[in-house]
Amino acid sequence: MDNKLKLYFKEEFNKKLKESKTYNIINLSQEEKDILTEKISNLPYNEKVILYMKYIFDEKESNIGLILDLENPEKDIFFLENLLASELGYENKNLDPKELKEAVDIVYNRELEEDNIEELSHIYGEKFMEIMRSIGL
Amino acid sequence: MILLVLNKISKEERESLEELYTRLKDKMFGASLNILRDTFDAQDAVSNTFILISENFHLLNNIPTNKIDNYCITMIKNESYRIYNERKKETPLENLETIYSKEDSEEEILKILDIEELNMLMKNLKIEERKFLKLKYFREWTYEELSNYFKISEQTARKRHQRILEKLRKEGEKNG
Repeated sequence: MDNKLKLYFKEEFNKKLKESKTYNIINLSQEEKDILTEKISNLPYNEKVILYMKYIFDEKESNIGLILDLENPEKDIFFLENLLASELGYENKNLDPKELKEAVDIVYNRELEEDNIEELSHIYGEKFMEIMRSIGL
Repeated sequence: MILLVLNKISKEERESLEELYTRLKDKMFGASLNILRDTFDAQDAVSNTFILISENFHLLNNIPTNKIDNYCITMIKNESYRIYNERKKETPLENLETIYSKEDSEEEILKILDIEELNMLMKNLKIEERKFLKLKYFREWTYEELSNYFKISEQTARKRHQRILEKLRKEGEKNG
């Protein structure tokens, strides 16, 4: 079942990807922009990070694939952007990249503020040190 | 593999990598520990991330200097969440066993459907139900991720999944 459902959604997605070339760009109201920000914020981190790589670090799609170990980063990006558009009721439209960037920026910066990362001086184990030596560190 | 990677790194890049490692390893460890709450797993996350950075070191040249630290922190967080999800898959909660077995039996029954039947049945689902299945099966989100996205509890996410599968099964039976 797992594979069948995956296959079903894969076929549906590929069809949508082809159709998307004809989609118009939609501009959002402020209320919709706020919803978009919330939806991005609720995404799992491994999905959000794809948007961060594209919109915060301006990475090319091919580089996003390398750094995040993704087979088809362009498809992943389309999936996420289409998911977000559909959350706003615009399944057959493309979101404006400028507005998406603004929303991703807000989520990313909010996350930076909330992160509260401490520098922890830690005694690293032998396995860790061995791996680091193996990459020349 | 690693030796091959090292050969590709110039002396300047090696020095930059060492500088990055010295400057960021403790911060990256801290970021990972915030997510994983386990020092061994956090060490794994840091080492995996540095392997990835060393393999793709040339990509860091494209990142503005003032964004490199945040770029590395983003990478360590991503790796930490990956480990977190792997770990979670390995340790299902005991009190959810009943739900798991019910889900499994629904999935078993639905295995007999072919793709064409499935196409027909999917049309009977509501948009939100289809979206739930798409995120679960196509994007392989965990129940925790689904619950965060839909703003429901993890238990409700499991029940919703089970209910949608049951609906598909019942529709399948109706259609013979």
